[in-house]
Amino acid sequence: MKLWLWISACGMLAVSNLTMAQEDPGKSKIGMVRVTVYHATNGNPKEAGVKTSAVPKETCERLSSEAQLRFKHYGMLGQDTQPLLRSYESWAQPLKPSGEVLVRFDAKSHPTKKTTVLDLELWLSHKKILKSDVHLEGNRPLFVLGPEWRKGRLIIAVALAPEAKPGP
Amino acid sequence: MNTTPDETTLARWLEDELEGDELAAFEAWVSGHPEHLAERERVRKWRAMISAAVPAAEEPPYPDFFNSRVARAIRENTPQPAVTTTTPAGWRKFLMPAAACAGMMLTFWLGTKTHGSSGEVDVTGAPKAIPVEPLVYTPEKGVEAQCFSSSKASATVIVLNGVDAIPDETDFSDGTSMRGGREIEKTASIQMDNMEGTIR
Repeated sequence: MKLWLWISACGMLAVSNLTMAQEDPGKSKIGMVRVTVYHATNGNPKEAGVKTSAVPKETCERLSSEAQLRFKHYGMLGQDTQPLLRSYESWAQPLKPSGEVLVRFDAKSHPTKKTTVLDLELWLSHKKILKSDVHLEGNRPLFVLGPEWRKGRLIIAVALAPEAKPGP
Repeated sequence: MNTTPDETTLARWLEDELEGDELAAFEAWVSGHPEHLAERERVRKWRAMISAAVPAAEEPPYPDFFNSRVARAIRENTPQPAVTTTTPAGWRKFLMPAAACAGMMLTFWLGTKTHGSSGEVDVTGAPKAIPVEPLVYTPEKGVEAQCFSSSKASATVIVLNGVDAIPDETDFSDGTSMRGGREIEKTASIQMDNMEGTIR
C-alpha cells in the first residue's frame, strides 16, 4: 500500500514539474552564451589589480594574432555565462558585482548546431555603446576592443558556451 | 379638315382611339373616302372575331408550385435507366470493415512518425547562407565602431573608438562602479531572482 502511495506521489510531482516547465515555452533554454572581460595592456599587468585571473595561453595567442588586439599582457577580469532563451532577452554581467560592463543578448533566429545569430548590445557605464547582430560559431567568438582602463584596454569576448554535461 | 391626315392618325382611327375634336375632324375628312371606312369595318370585324376566340387573360390551371409540378411531370414521363445493384460477396462483406480499421491504424501510425518527438526542425543539412558582416550601430555620439572578420584570430572583431575611458580608480572587484539603482541593473542577472530578463 505504501509503495503505491509513493508511486502516486512521485507521479503527481513529475506531472506538476512538467506542467510548470511548460508554462512558458519562451523561457526554454536554447543555448548558453559566455561573456568574458579581459584587461589587455602593454604596461604593468599588475595595474589591473590582484584579482585578475590568468588567461590561457591559447587565448593569449589568439588575441595577439590579430594586430588590433595585440598587447603584451592579458588578464581576465571576470566572466559570466547566461542561458540564451527562446523568447526572452538575457543579460550577462561579467564584472559582478560591478555593472560597468553589461551585455544584453537574445536570439535572432533559432540556433543550429553550428551557428547562433544573436542580437547583442554592449552597455558601458550604464550607457548603450554598441548594438549589433553577430554570428557565433562553436569556436568563433566575438572580440570587442573596448574602453581604456588602467593603462590598457578592456576586451569583451562573447562566445557560445559548451553545454554542461551531467555528472556521473 | 382639308389636308390628308398622317399615317399615325389614320392607324389610331382604325383602332378607334381618336376622341373629341380630333375624332370629329377626322370623321369629316374620312366621309369623303369610302375606302378608309370599308377598311375600318374590316378591322372591327377582325378584332371582334379575335376577341371571341381568345380570352383576354387565362390563369394557369395549377398556379401553386407550377414549376415543380412541371418538373415532376417531366421526370415521370422520362424513362429511367435501369439501375443494377450488386451485392458484395460474402467474404468481401466481412473484409471491408477490417480493411478500413487497418487503414485507420496505418494512417495514425504514419502521423506519429511524421510529427516526431522533438518538434524541432533540423536545418543542419540546409544550404548555408552567405556570411555577411554584422551590422554595427553605435548610438553614443563620438563613438565609432570598426567591424571585421579576423581570419588569424578566427573571430569577429569590433574595435570601438571614442569610448570614454573608465576611471582608473574604478575597481571591478568591489563593486564601486555601481552608481545608483537603475532599472537596468535590476534585470541584469537572470539567476538572481525570478525576473528572467525582460520581455522584448
